[in-house]
Amino acid sequence: MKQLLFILLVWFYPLFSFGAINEYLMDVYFANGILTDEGNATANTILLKRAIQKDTYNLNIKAYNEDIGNVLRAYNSTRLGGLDDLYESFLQKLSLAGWNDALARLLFCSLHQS
Amino acid sequence: MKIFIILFPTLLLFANNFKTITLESNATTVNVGDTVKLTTTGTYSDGSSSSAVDENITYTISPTDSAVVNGSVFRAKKDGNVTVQAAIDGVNSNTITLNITWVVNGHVLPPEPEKALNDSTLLGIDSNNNGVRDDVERWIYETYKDKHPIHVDIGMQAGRAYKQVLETPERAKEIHDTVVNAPLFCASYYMYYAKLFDDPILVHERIDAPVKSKYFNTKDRNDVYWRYDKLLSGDSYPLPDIEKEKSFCDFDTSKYKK
Repeated sequence: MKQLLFILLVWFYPLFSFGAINEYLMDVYFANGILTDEGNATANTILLKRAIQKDTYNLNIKAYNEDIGNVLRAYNSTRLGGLDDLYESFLQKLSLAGWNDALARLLFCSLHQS
Repeated sequence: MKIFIILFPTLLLFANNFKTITLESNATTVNVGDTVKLTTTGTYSDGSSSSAVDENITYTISPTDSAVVNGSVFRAKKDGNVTVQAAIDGVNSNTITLNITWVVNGHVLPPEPEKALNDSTLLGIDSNNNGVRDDVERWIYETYKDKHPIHVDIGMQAGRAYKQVLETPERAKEIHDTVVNAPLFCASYYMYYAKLFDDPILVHERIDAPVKSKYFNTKDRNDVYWRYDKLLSGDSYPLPDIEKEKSFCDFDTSKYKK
């Protein structure tokens, strides 16, 4: 009986999972940039969705719906008026330029103090 | 010369011979921009009375910028209670109080709250208990009064939503799309998709953002917003389907049918 149940579960598993994710549709993720709050990130995602409908699908919503699934906001909060984001961006740039991480932090701190 | 000295006080007496002056108005409530007729009656020392001549009357209005009087016509400029007193040659009348209201599209706006008091608490003053802080409500009606009325509806919805952020920022994930972003989704419908569903395109600008900057206008209010915002960080949220965007409007949309 247990074996039969196992076989049935394995057999029907793809049917259950199919309901959760439609592999024939693309999901679009919008990642917010610095100096945006959640409301602006949502507004920007709406604009992105509209731009895809307009520029890629020529406002053919039916064709759009056949290709695109969800349009999502992948949200990261911007705090301290963006200062921490600028700090992270600054470190990333220096890191790309081959700077040692500790040296970059030291430079940032001295610039900040001055 | 002697004759003049004798006559001069007599002439003054004739010029200023009202004993008391009574000021009345034909209404006690007036809308901004509307007028009220003032009537001034003087009583002589013998008990007889007569209407005062307009040119001889001076009016004292408080606050001074709330209204103007031309002749005997009082014109309301700014809402709130205003007192008016008439005077003729140094004799003052009674003081009357007129209530000036500001009505936009049939909606009576609450009075402008005193800023220090309004900003002393997170929620501020909402004297008409409609869920939108009075200063923000006035700003919404003033800003959008000449645009399609849906702008005011969406602005007020945003105001009610931001109040919930101030009340319960810890419920961020629960309310951010169903309540806080709802006016944005509603506006998106009337900006982009309404025509697909036989509704008119009525909105051409963002309404939630300027309302938000008005709502979170102090450091304490802004701090609460960021507490709410931070709780949403690190996750992803789908936009609603366009068929469902209209359902995010929390007001009666049937009045905006074509």
